[in-house]
Amino acid sequence: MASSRPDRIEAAIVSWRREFGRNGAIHSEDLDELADHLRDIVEMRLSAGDTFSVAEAFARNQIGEADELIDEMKLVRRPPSYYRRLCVGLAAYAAFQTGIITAVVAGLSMTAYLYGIKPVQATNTYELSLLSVVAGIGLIEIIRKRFQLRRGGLGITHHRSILRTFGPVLGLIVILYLGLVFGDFWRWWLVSAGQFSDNRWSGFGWVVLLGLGGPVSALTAATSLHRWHPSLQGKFSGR
Amino acid sequence: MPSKDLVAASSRPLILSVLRRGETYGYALLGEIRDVSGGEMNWSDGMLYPVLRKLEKEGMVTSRWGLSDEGRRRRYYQLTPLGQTVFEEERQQWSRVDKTLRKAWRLADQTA
Repeated sequence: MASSRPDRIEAAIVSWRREFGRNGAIHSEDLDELADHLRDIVEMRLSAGDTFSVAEAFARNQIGEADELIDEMKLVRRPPSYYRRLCVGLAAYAAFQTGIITAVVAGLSMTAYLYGIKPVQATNTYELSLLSVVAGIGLIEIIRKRFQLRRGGLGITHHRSILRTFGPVLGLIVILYLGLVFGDFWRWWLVSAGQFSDNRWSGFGWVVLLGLGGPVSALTAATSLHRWHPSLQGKFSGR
Repeated sequence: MPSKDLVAASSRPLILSVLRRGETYGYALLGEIRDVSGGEMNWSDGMLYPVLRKLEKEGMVTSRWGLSDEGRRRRYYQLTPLGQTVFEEERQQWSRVDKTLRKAWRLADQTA
């Protein structure tokens, strides 16, 4: 049985709303208003003698592209600047803390291992370090997406270039990893050479990690700041 | 047809001008703009709302939900006192631009 004209219009609106309402970027009240446009335009075109599909296509064209509108609405609904600054501060703090937490977790684990408590294998400290770095980066990305910071974070959801996207993350991981390996090797070498006791250097990994992890994370946070906050744009990157 | 940039730049004064005449709703507002421009300013309907939201956010426009003659829920927009002031300022600025361009083009025609 052929559906009635109002039913077809409502079905077209439901389909249109699904397309425009994705991601929740356009508020439902805005969708209500635009749905009214769609309804009015379709009815007007049908009265003028168009077929339903022609009328619907005309109305959709008149309303415009979903992506374009979603982008515009995101710009308008961006949180006020003081709120954004607070978010930037939190994100930067999270980035810095990631380094500190990484250092403390890895250092304590290594120290405990060397003192014979062995809660974890020494090699597990590397994985713990990586895990906390990745968790920290994930946290920053969530903050960035939640508050619609268009630029910044580590750019995972923004930039197309893989190198640019993952470069800072990989750099951070590689430096931390090298710091751990280097610290372990140095300690092993000094102890083997009989110059120091094992216990005396048990915190070496902690020192290396705190020394490297903290500043590297802070640097990552600082270089991200120029992308997060318009007033800092170009200060770090020269753009 | 004016370029996209020009259409975007003139969207605010156009909306303020229409709202200066009184409270209206989105579809009617667009219709008036199309009529006034003789179809030259062909906005997509979707592009109206980001501008309206921005004007609301800046305190130039307020809105309220009401009912249309057919009993449908409809949102009506109105200028605030700040919107009136901004409208006057924008009108003066655009008049100056218009005056300057007219003079420049007259001179250009004379020397051509």
